[in-house]
Amino acid sequence: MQQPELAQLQAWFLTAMSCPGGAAQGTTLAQQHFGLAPEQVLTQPQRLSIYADGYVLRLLDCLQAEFPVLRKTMGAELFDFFARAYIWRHPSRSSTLYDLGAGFADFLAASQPRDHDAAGNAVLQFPIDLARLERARGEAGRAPGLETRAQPSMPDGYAGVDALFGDPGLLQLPACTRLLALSFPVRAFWEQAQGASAELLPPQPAAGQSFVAIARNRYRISMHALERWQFHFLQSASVAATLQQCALQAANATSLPIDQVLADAMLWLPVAMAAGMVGRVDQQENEKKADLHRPFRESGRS
Amino acid sequence: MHAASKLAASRLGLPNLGLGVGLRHPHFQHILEHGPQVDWFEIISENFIDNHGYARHVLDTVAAQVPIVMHGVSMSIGSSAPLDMAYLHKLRALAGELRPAWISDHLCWTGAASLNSHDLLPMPLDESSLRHVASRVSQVQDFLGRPLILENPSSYVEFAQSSMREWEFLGRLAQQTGCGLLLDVNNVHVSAHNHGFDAVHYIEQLPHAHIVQIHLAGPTDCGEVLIDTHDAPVPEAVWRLYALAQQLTGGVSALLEWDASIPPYPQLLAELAKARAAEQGVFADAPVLPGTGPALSTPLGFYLEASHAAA
Repeated sequence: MQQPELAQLQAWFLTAMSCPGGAAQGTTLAQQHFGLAPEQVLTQPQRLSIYADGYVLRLLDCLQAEFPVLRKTMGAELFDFFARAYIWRHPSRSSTLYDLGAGFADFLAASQPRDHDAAGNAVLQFPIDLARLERARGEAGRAPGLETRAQPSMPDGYAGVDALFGDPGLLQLPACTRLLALSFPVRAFWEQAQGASAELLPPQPAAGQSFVAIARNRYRISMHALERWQFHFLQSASVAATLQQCALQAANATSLPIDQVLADAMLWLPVAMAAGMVGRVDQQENEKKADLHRPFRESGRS
Repeated sequence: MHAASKLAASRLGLPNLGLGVGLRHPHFQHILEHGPQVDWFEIISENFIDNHGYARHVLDTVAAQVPIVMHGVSMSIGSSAPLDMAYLHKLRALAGELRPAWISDHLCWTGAASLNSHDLLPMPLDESSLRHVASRVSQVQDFLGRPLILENPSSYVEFAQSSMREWEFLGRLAQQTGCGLLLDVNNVHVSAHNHGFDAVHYIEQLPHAHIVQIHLAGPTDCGEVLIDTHDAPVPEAVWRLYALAQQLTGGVSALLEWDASIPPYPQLLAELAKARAAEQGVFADAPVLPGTGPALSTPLGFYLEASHAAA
């Protein structure tokens, strides 16, 4: 009898170990798909359960580490139920486990019943918001930040009198800043719940739109409650923009007078920059990069 | 061959770094305050690919003090899927920044058809697999511009079509490709128990000049099988294999892995210090501990535990 190819064996093994329901169902499914009985593939097929159980436990362990407050809030049993379903429904296709939890909040949103509470929020909206917050914190912790940039570009380089009356130039969010528009004020809840035991969690807050910026400064993650105009102001700086452009965008989005937004922004911007929420575009650095990529004929040297 | 020239030809010419531990987040603060207190650190390469945060800052700080080795879990050198060139580009870029003493991964596959199990899965050990893996090791070595160091995994099943033992497969792979070996003596102990072979014979049969590094860890006794849990002290049987490996190789770098229920740094260092005693023939008498719940091989949760910790 001809030996199965490596690709066939590995497809059989993966099917058997990653099937919802464990190794017993997995081997049945693998046999149906590939025409290979467990004894044809493995000398100790009953031990495949070590790989099948380990597959789920290992990834569950990672999701538990990434969403600790969510797990405490939902309860371990309910969290693990959804996490297992997520692992089976959305198997990892990445070489890094940092990508594993990227779709978990959306999965929770898609998994919940269609019922809504009196305020029109989805029943599980609070856990979904918590999932988005914890995922964003993890991303903010790993993305490139401002720590390694030259001193003049550090967030606290725009302060004092200059901050009030000077032109900050082009503004841009650092890659590590995350902005969230949520249906519950989860920021304060998360901060209280993080250090609390599952039995002593703070009460779930009432529903209410909230805006949060997650920032990193000197490798420390901080979370900031934003007013609606501040959220739109920062959102405008996801690409390099002037203070005026950001303010105009925020005014349009909130129907506030542009003068009021500009005045408030002038006062608030130094705080936002010191916290690392937004930074100044380093013009010299950008010009150097542009020079490197500019075709020779456009550089004026031809 | 004179002893001195024999030693010079060993380890593929790579240095004996001494005794090290895995760089793990729970120990960052202690290490920054008190210094490494080890000869070298091993990092999980994937933890630092696309990671520009505090962990990278700590790594850069300690890399200025002691040598670093990059140990990966995602190369999937035995997979039937094409090599993941995006991953290899990132791995090479990280190596360019960190200048590690070497880069290692496992004789295993982690996935196929775009699905990643994030487990270190066993290979069918036959001539066809050997040709397949040898070809890929050569491609990776050409791409990285350095020898790849491959670790023997723990395994719980064997493929029915395997026609050779793991030590033969690894030995021939090393001879054919010039790759190095990372001999995990705990994995030898675990697999020997699980498959009924002689762990001492396994180590004696390897090409010792290709062994660049040794791994130490503690497994869990789950009855019929031992599971490679990396969550316990190194048992006496593993210390004895360690002493044998050090004797046969003439001395190579050794590293203690502890990836779940991670102890405080001083306790980790105390466990590592037992290696010196073992090299003198004095073996700590720790048994393999029985499991008290579901035992997880290749724990990776520590990968993400830093997400919400303060810098």
